[in-house]
Amino acid sequence: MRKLCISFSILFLLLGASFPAAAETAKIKHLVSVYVDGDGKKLQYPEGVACQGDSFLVADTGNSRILRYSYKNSTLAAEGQFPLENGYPIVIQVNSKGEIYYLDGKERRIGRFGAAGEPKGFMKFTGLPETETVMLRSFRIDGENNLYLLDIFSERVVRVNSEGQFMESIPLPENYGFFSDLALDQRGKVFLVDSINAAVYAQNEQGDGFVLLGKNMKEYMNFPTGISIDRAGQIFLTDQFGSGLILIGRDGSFLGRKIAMGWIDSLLFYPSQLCINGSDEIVIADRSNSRVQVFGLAE
Amino acid sequence: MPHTKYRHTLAFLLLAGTALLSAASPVRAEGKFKLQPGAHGKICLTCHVEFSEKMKKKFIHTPLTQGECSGCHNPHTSSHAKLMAAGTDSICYQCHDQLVPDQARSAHKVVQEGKCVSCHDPHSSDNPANLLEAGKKLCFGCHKELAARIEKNKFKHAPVEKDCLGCHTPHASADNDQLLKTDVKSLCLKCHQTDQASFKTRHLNYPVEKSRCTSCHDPHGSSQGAILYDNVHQPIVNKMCNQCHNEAQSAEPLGLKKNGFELCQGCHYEMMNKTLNKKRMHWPLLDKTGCINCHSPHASPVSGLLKKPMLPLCGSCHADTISRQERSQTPHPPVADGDCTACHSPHASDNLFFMNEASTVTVCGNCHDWQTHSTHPIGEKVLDPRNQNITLQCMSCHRTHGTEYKHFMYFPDTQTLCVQCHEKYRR
Repeated sequence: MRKLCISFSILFLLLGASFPAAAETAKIKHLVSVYVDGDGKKLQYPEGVACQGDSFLVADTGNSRILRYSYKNSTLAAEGQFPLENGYPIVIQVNSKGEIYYLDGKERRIGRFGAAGEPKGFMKFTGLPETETVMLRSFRIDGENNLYLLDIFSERVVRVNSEGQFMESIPLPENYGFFSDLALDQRGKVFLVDSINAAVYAQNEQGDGFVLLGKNMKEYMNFPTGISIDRAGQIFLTDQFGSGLILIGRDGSFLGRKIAMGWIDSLLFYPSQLCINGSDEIVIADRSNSRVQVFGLAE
Repeated sequence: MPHTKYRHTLAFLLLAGTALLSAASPVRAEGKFKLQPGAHGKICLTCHVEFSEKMKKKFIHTPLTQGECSGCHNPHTSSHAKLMAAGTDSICYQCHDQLVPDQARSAHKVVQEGKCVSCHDPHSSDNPANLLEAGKKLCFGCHKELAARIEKNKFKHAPVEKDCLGCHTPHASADNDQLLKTDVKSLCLKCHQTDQASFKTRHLNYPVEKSRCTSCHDPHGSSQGAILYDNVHQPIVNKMCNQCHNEAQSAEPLGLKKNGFELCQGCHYEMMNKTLNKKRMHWPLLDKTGCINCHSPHASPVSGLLKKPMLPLCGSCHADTISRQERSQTPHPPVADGDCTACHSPHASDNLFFMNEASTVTVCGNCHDWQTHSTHPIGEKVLDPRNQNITLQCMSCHRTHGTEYKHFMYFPDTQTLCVQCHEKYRR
């Protein structure tokens, strides 16, 4: 019995120590940088990235187009591009069917491409409970292809299906600064990043609101604008004005700051959206460096 | 037995001696410094004769009236100037420890810093509370800019002419901003009768008594009628509150007809159309608060109806950017002067960082003219050796809001900066 107790204690200690330590000791390794499309044309101020299996999509904002790349066995390959006439894509997502959705920063509407790359125009939302203006700042797509819209005008996150039919509305919390982006974890829980207060909010247990996760982290970062969550629930933020990557624990605790400001590969200059794929690779739109960078997460 | 006799005599002498000493001590030594009899309250003045004049003033600091110089000074030695018994920033609090309530909403900076002598004479004064000057003259000694503005105002606010302490508390306010005695509304309503017909007529029958008066009126007076702030929104000038608010007789008269930019768009449609056609939005303009994130909807002391001067206004969200300038070894005049719009378009822009021009070289060239014809190669045709997707421009070497290094460079010295690209010169 005594031996059993000791064994359990050791196991408990090891497990307890390993979870937070894993994140704290996480190493970020630069894998590859994306500078050009398949024809050698340079990227210009890309703001959006979306991960899908071994592929990722890039909102090549300055060139009004969307690009697709694959990254497999350490090999990067350009797979195609989707031009947008006068478009200004700033956030991009892809659903399980391979359909591409992007937020146009100028139109402030969500445009679509079918799985075969055919343009499907801008989305229309139906059945919204209020007639107030919808002003989209960002959006995400869940595993069931529903869209979560960050509506800064009506101060809510709206869930619609893939055709834009209203499903639910979650009000934003009180006393926030400004929400720039949202993310979904593996269970579909919504997270928001408050750029002004450098804070992360999480959907509450009831699912009908948001609560501050941890505390204001202004001392650790300048102005986070992008958020993504890995399979383990660890939160990653791009600190746009601080040009860095911030790691936050599941409980909202600050775990570390990775990557510094700079111009050479592996450094960031005013990064924007980020995504994390199934292989724990982090893809970052390194906006003001006019490139996309892929990093590996190693513990 | 003779020993016993001696013992009794010795005990008697000891007791008598102790009694004599006990009786004599108040006569021989006064207080903790064992002053000579009768010296208490006088001995310091035998040397510090100039204090006889101070003692003639109307108001004398209580310890001094009791001759307790040693309440604040150590007569022998001290680690503080003027033989103070403690630091000047803390000694007053030894007695006056209740001046700043815990969790005070606002506190006077000099009080927080323990600079009590900025306002009070620690010995005596002809003004109540030992103040150095009477009334507003004392406050205006520091608040010079406000004093100058008040002096210039065409329309004066009577309480300001009298004394600042009509509205403000001098040390700290437990519940109110800006050292106000009570909240703004209660303070105004002490003098202004809101149930009078003239009050209602002047405010077009809107129930403004429930609002914050200082959103329109400058409590320190102004050069606008009704002491409105110097910059007044046109609908107010035109007495047309219902351009934005519901009718005065409606259920919610102070409610807005629309939210956010959609309300302002009704009049400012040209500006809004131009803004909404830009590629990059300053997003707060499009949230529920919209334009009034930055602008005062009624009146403002700042031009452009800004809520605050530009530096604190922009800094209320971009605190990190503004603080970088504060830490910067070299000030960048537009930032240091709070002229953010010298480089940025605050509503929207087609350019990164909401720059006024597509090229940062052009933006910088507006002030740094020499940069456009004689400089390190920069511009659209010069690729950055560190990253072939970007070109060399001013921000390649300088972080325009400042760094901890000279000339707001990214690196501590020129050599370190240059070898970022010119690697062969790296030592």
